[in-house]
Amino acid sequence: MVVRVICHINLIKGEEKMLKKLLFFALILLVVAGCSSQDSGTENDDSSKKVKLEIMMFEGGFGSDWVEKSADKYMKDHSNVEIELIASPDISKQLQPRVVAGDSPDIINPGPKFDIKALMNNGGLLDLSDYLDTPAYDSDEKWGDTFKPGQLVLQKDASHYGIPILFSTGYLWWYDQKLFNDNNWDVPETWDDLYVLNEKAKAEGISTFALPGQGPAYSLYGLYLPLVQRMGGFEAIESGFNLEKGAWKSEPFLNAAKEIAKMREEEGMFLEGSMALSHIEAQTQFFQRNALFAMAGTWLEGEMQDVIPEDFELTALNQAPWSDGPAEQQKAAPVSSGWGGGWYVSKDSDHADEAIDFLKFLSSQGEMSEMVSSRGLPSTIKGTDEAIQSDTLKTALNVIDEAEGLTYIPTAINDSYPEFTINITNQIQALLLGEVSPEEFIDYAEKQAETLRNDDSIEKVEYKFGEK
Amino acid sequence: MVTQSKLLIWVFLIPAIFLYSLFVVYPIFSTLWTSFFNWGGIGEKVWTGWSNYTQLLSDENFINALINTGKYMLFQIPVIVILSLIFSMIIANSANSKKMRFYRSSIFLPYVIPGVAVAMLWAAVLNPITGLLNVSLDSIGLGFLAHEWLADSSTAFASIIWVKTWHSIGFYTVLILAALLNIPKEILEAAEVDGANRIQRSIYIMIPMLKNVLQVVVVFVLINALKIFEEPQLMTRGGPNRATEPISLYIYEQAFGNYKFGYASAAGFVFFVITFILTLLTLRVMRGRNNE
Repeated sequence: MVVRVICHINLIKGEEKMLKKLLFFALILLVVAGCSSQDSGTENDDSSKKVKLEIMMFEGGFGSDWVEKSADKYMKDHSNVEIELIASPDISKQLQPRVVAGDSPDIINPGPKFDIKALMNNGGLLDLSDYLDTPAYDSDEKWGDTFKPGQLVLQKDASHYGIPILFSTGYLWWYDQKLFNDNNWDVPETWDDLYVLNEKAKAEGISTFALPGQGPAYSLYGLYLPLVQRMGGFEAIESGFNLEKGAWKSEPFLNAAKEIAKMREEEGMFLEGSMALSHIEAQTQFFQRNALFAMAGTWLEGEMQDVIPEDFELTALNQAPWSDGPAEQQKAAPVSSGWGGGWYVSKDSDHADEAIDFLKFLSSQGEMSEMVSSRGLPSTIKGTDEAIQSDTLKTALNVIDEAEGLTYIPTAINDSYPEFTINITNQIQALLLGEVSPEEFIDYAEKQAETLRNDDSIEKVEYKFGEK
Repeated sequence: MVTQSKLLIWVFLIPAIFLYSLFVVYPIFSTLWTSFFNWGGIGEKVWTGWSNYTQLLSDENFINALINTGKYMLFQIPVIVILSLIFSMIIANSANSKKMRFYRSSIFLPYVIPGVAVAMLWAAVLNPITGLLNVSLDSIGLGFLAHEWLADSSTAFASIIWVKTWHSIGFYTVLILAALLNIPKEILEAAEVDGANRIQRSIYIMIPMLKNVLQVVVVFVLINALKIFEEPQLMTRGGPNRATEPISLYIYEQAFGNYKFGYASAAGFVFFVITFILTLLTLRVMRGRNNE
């Protein structure tokens, strides 16, 4: 009808043909568009109510294959459930537009670059508190009781919004026990021992630290903040994280900065060239035995498994004590805050019950024991430590055990104040390069803390560490 | 007849206008709108009026990023334009067409490699410990020249300029070359007969006749310099200590690192206005010279 009407207009022959072709193609496109169906998450097949669960997870040093295995197993036992797993190191970039569009996945494991607390504060996450009181997967025990004591910390007020499945230490120091044995070196038991060790290693052409200059956060969490804690105890760290006036210019912060400058300038403790390296490149240098220590969490072994020589005896070490610091806190160990590594259910999920059931399955002792054994990652679930095969992992857990509850969370500052942390991190890089002095560094840090303190648009958090 | 032809023109234009509006015009206005709010990317937007813009004025990191972007622009334009002009003239004067095709293909080759791959490749070459550059220098007895290219503020910046030039110069060379080859031979022969040497023919005949294509090249280089992102992101992460951080990376950090989408939008809109003005000015200056 439309074509005939247009043809009655006195068109030139060629234009008439062109227009007919265009309209024909437009019609085809409309038909094709009309035939495409949108994924609604549930098949419209009346014969079985198939549920599709979508999981978006961060793929970092811990990988995602262990979740994939569990998902495959779960689907075999639950034929009505289809699980789609999307894992990526940049999952935050995919997650954010989905959340904004109101199309959150059912299950979220956001990683460090997504503001999961903002999603929680905006009512985007399901309150798991009641679910934690229900039985765990294939068990009569309450789900919440299957977690190790003190692990369920992903909460606001009294409500639990996330569950942690993997346990991660903070940034520990790692070394090769074989290298030390072969050279008859002792691990440093004091900060002064570190300097003695440095001289011995230099004589062998080995640097003390492989610092990833392109990832200065490693130096912030693995060297600077732990040194502040050693020098000033939890009190110093808490004053800084709580943005107390003058905290970032106090003695522990200044002295820690001076110590790092001394390590670089006078003692030459950092691997030459490492300031231009990424964390993978720096860690590779470490595994090539060009440096004594690398700083990382328990993900190091898994992350670098393709590079680690067979005879390398990767062992964890707590940061050396500072002789003038509070004696009772020198064994304090860093742990990870866990918000980025937690598992959450979207409030808007159409299949919340199924999502919870899968999370129960994923966090069940059986699944976690299998993961711990095969993947070498520690979990927060009771009764899984026995499955640890990795000697390396056992050394890391020993560090935490030896702290006897004296733990703190250097990375917590990033959870609450990411912009402040990025600015401090950049300045740490300048300090390590010798572009700013320790005094300039703390002046800058204090100025940033003041700006943050006075910014009423940013919610402030109260930190308290070391409570058992 | 005319009306019916116009109808056909609109039939072809409307889809293009629609797509342009959807993917270009709408995002600009959406960004402007978002810039008047505090928004963490999730949840409600809170109206703040002009405060994001006033905050930008005192944000030393924003100013630093703008300065860095200006430096990228000021270095890249003359380097790329002059080098591509020289290369195109050399290629145009090749002895035979086979050689010309070979040179043209060789210089264009880096351009077909995706920018991300180029940045990662050169980051590996410039690695201070295992990179090809330092290892080669060491092997020929010039180890004292080895350097932490990407960890030193001055060399990191120069390295990025170099990589950007290496990647894109082929495209501009081929562009200029095409225009060069279209210059009527008779004009050049006449100049030669009149006693003009090669350099005089290049300066007084070829370059003036290349004004239009040079204008295009300058605008392209300007825009690409202003929106530089991959090389600083992948080679230096904007470091050391923001020394190589351009405005695009700063905006990215504000949005996806600090969850300040309103603030990032304000920075983005300011940058859009600056780019727009700079591009117009450049075109005006070059057109002014054309009219002389």
